[in-house]
Amino acid sequence: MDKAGDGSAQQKKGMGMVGLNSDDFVEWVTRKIERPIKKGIADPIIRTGLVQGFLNWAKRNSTWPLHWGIMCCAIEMAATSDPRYDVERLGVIYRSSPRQVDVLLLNGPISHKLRPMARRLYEQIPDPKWVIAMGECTICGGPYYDSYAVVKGAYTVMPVDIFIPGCPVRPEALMYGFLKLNQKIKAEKAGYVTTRKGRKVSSRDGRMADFTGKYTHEVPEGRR
Amino acid sequence: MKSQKAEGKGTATKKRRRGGVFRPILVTLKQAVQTAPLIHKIVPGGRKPVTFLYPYEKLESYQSYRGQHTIDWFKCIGCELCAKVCPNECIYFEFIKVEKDSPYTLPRRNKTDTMKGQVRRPAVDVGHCLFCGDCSEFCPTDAWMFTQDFELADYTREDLFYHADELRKPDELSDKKQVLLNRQGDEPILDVDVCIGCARCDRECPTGCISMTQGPNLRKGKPIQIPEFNYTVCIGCQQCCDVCPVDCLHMQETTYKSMDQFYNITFPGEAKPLEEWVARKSPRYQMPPKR
Repeated sequence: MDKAGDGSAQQKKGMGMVGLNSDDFVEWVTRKIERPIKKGIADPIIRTGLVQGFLNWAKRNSTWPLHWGIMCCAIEMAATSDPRYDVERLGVIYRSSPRQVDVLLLNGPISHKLRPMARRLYEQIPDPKWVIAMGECTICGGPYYDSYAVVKGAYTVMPVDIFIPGCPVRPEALMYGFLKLNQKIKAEKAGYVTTRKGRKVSSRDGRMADFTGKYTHEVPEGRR
Repeated sequence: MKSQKAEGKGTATKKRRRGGVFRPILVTLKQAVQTAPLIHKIVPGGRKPVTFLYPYEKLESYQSYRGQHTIDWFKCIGCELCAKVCPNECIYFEFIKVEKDSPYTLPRRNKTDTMKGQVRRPAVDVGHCLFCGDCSEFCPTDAWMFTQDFELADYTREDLFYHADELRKPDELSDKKQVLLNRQGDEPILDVDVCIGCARCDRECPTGCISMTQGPNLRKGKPIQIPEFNYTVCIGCQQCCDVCPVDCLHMQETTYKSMDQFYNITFPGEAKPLEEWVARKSPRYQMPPKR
């Protein structure tokens, strides 16, 4: 028994790198990759100029959205990737698994039944991740704004980065939204982006509201 | 394969494709040559590529495409009909202080606004808009327009609320032709027995089609004043029904009126239904003969 135990320990020490065991692989990743990144690369030129810039370039030119259609805006999402509006020029490739994805593209009203699944999909995406709310149903409920079954805006469930109004959104408008996301990632170092009206907002996190919060301006009472 | 051959004896045989595995490569190369810039003019079967490069070149959308909203402040009279017909209730009105000789007071406005020295103009929550075009369709003065601008994406939800001043059409672009048309097809009817004569409808009417006259019924020993409607000027905006404190007014569908009863501020007698305008322009369509 003792001999066998010693042998296995020696084997582990001797290998040093990746074993077939998945636990070994996780150990190797934490030791070789995660710790140095957390500790920080010593050379400032390499850290800021090369690594950060390169990673940013790679991030903003490969915004892969999740291939997930909720309702009719999904048809426009499909039309965006056809040869006429070839969206793969911008590095937008639809992927079917949330593990391989950077962007959660929400296209349609999120019902209360769908809400936990949408939140789970958001949490399954690995970390540099963004959310695009496409169409008015996702932004604020749209025509179902007084329905008992629809969430009033995706930004009550998860932080949303880009809001694209339209019903449905035109394919070019969706591409414009992706270009806006591109700009937002590019401005990560600066920390702010300017909106269409000229306001400065944070470029590092999306917009999130509480459930009790306001999602529309109050309609005057005489009109209800 | 055997069964296919046996079936194919009687019918026309399928044309065999050559190339095998290399065929897709050859087809791709052929396409690349046919759609290459400058070469596609010389090569037989050449054509321009299907893809258009969006951020650098833009497709010209139709004139009737509904993108960003614009409102002509010279034409708008603040009747709030757009807010009433909006299926999403995303239009709300803002009150703007103006001077006495401001050009925006020129068309018409209700008496309360004149007393307070203000105009009311629509503002839109674009993030909630359905882009159905009902507001521009029902607008009695053609003040609502849509541009072809579809690039409305933004970083925050708050910036999708567009104020009245941000939706204003530039003053140079408006033709300043003021038209009043009853597109709703309704007109207010008064229940005389209920009316208390408060004259709120008179103060709220944007076109000034109401005049107060002496009514038949007596209250407190003297006859009260009741509104009288000039239906040639009325646009059916329901503003009088909304403010009425005792619900003595209701809207009723109009019967067919000949068009010379309609009222046009600048060009009297030129008001025509939409079908006739269309029929004028297109030679194919002919109006049915009038009875």
